[in-house]
Amino acid sequence: MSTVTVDNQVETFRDNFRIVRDEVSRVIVGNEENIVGIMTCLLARGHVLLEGIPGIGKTKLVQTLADVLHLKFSRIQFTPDLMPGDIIGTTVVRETEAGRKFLEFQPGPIFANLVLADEINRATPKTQSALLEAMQENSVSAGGQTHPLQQPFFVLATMNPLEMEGTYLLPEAQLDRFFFKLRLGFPSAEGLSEILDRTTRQREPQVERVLGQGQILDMRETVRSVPVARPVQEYAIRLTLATHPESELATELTKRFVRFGSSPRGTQALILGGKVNALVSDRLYVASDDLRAVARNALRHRLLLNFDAEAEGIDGDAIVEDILQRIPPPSE
Amino acid sequence: MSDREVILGALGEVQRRLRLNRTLHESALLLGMVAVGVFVWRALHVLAGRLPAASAAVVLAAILAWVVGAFLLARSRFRSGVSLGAAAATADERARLKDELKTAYWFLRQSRASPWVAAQLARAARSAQRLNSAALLPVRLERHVLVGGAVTVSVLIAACLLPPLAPSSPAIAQPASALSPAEAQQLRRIRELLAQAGDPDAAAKLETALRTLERTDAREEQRRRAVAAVQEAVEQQTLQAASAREGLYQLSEKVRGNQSLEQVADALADGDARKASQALRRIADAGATAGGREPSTAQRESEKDLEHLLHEAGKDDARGPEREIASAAAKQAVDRLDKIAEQLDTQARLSQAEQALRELQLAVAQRSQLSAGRFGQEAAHNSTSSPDTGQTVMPGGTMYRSAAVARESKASAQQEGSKVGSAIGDSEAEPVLGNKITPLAVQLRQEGVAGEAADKRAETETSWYYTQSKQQASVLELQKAPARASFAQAEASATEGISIRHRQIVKDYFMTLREDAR
Repeated sequence: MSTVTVDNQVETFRDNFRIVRDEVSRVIVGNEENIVGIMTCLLARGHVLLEGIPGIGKTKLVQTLADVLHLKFSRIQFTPDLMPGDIIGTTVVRETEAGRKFLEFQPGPIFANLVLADEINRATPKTQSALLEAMQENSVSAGGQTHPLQQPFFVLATMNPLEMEGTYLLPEAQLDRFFFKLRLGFPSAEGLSEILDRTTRQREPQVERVLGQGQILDMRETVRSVPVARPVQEYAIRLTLATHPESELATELTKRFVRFGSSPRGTQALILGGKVNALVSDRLYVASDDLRAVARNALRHRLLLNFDAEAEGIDGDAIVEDILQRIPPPSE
Repeated sequence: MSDREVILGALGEVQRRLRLNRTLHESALLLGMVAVGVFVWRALHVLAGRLPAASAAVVLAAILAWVVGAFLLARSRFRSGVSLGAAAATADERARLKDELKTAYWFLRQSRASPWVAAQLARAARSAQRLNSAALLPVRLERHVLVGGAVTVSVLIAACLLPPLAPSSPAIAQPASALSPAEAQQLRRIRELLAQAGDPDAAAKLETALRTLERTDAREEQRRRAVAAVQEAVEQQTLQAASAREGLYQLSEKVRGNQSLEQVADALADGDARKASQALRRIADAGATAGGREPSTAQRESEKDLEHLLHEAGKDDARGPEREIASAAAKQAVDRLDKIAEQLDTQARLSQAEQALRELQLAVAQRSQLSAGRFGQEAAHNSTSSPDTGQTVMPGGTMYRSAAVARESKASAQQEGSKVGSAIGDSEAEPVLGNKITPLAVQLRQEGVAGEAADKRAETETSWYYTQSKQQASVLELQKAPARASFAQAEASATEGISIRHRQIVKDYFMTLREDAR
């Protein structure tokens, strides 16, 4: 592979990325950062948790993305009575024409490229944990057999932070499996006006499928190829260690409000997210700015805060922001 | 040229400019530290008089530590070079290259060969070629360094131009400079006078004062104390000399009736003991020529005082043994008069030395630049001057004067405002600040008239029953002379320079003198 090939590969990556972003933006008003975040998770082989109040377009965003990407899409509405088998599938007894009965695995909705786990916090922990293996191992075990999931496998879970009654908070282990946690804010007045213009007419804007499965997999490979200099990698490690209150790098805010810091998955998310960000920025290397750009999305849900933080209204974003300000990037 | 060479070349150029800038910056910093050191030195020089001597060593040690610290800091900063990695980081920051050169330099050092690394190096080389090092890193001092340097230099210039501070309080002493040749010559002259003076105690005090004046580290206050001690000793001598002169005057009055001792009496009245001694020696020589026999020991023992000796020596009609006794008495009187003359000479020399010492101290105070402010304060008019009773601070010292001296000698009681009760004639009130002063010579002259004092005393005892007439007023003035106690008090208050603790001595002396006269 020559440098020209690399440049072409990066150029293709950027073009595809831009096409998907622009196509999604035809339907979704604003939220460009979240669109980029979702794309980053998809290309970094991660999963994303979307948090936002009802009605701001979480599900619409995922549906639009599924429409733009030529991928198999499935949606699971999580409810308290949802069972794990409803997600991963179940084994049923089938009978052949000859009358011979046999057990057959009936794949659940998780067997898709793009899975929308809507309102994931409404299901019981047992059901939520059914997603664990699938998200981490990209495979499902049922009936004593392991069924690999088709690539790309990408879970987008949504969560409503307001209606907490009858919900089950996601356990830390499951939260950690999400590459990014994105927060969808309320749109501005202009954004609302644009939403009304697009959704209250006879015909809503339609999107085209612009990216296929193969292209996405190629883009994933491209992301993995981006080299990272050791100082930048050490910067990612320092950022992660700074989230641990017992670490020497811990900031005052971390020591006061964090019970447990980010896992190594957080560091991986920093590097991989930084790689996507570097490619989007037409760079062949990861800069410290790339890590800083993705740090909030990658670390905010991986911090286990204590009661003092909750009492004082300190969230993960404030902790990460403080760390970014106090941990200097590599000087050489 | 390979990508590697291009990148390293560009980084080398950035590194060179960074070194140049750092050298400039560190030099400015070092100069600033030197300037601060000079400023501190100058400030200490200006404030030298305000600092206690004990702190001088501490200040010196602090300055030394400052210099050593500045040297070590400068050395460490000059030694810390600029690496290519730092140059790459600076170039990235200035050219907003988002760590491109920094990462490329790291890849170059790691020699990791991959298409992606090669592509990244190729891009970095292109970016390095576009770098304009001169625009990115102009050789100049940063603004805060320039501002700091300007402020430091301004303060330094101001500090150098400012005159030395004068102490605000006389209690703050200042070291004086060394004596000039003229002052040293005056010092030698004082020492010569001291060598001739016979009073070892006063001479020792004078010598101490001279040494204090000679010391360059002596404070003005120390000098003043030394000079004050000398003044005290000289005043003691002056008092003794005054009493001696007074005694001589009384003696002259008593021997004035003797025709042969007329010249002696005149000399004694003038206070010239040496001249009286010479006159008496001539009389004794004449007697020795006539008799030629030494007086016996028993005769010498019988000679009680100088007056008796003079009377013995002045007998014109002495014959035979009496003549010899007169001659021996004359010799004894001559010896006594020589001693008195020697005492008077000593006092005169000490007075001269003391005056010279005052002049010397004044000259040093005037010449000393550091004490100029203080001298100016002393030379200024006393804002709270009190001519009647106060002490006026004058250049070089303090003039003591009492109300009695300031009054007119012929002022009437009404003018003085001290006469109370004259209208009803019951008594004459005492002046506010003591009796009117009659010169000592007049009082002694009155004493010298034999038998007159006793007559006047008798008149005085009865005169207060009557309203005084003009004639009686003149008599009353004469009556004040025998009133020894009030006279001594007035004399003490009127005499310049008699300290409080010596006034009782003077008073006692005159009281004793009166009793002897009786």
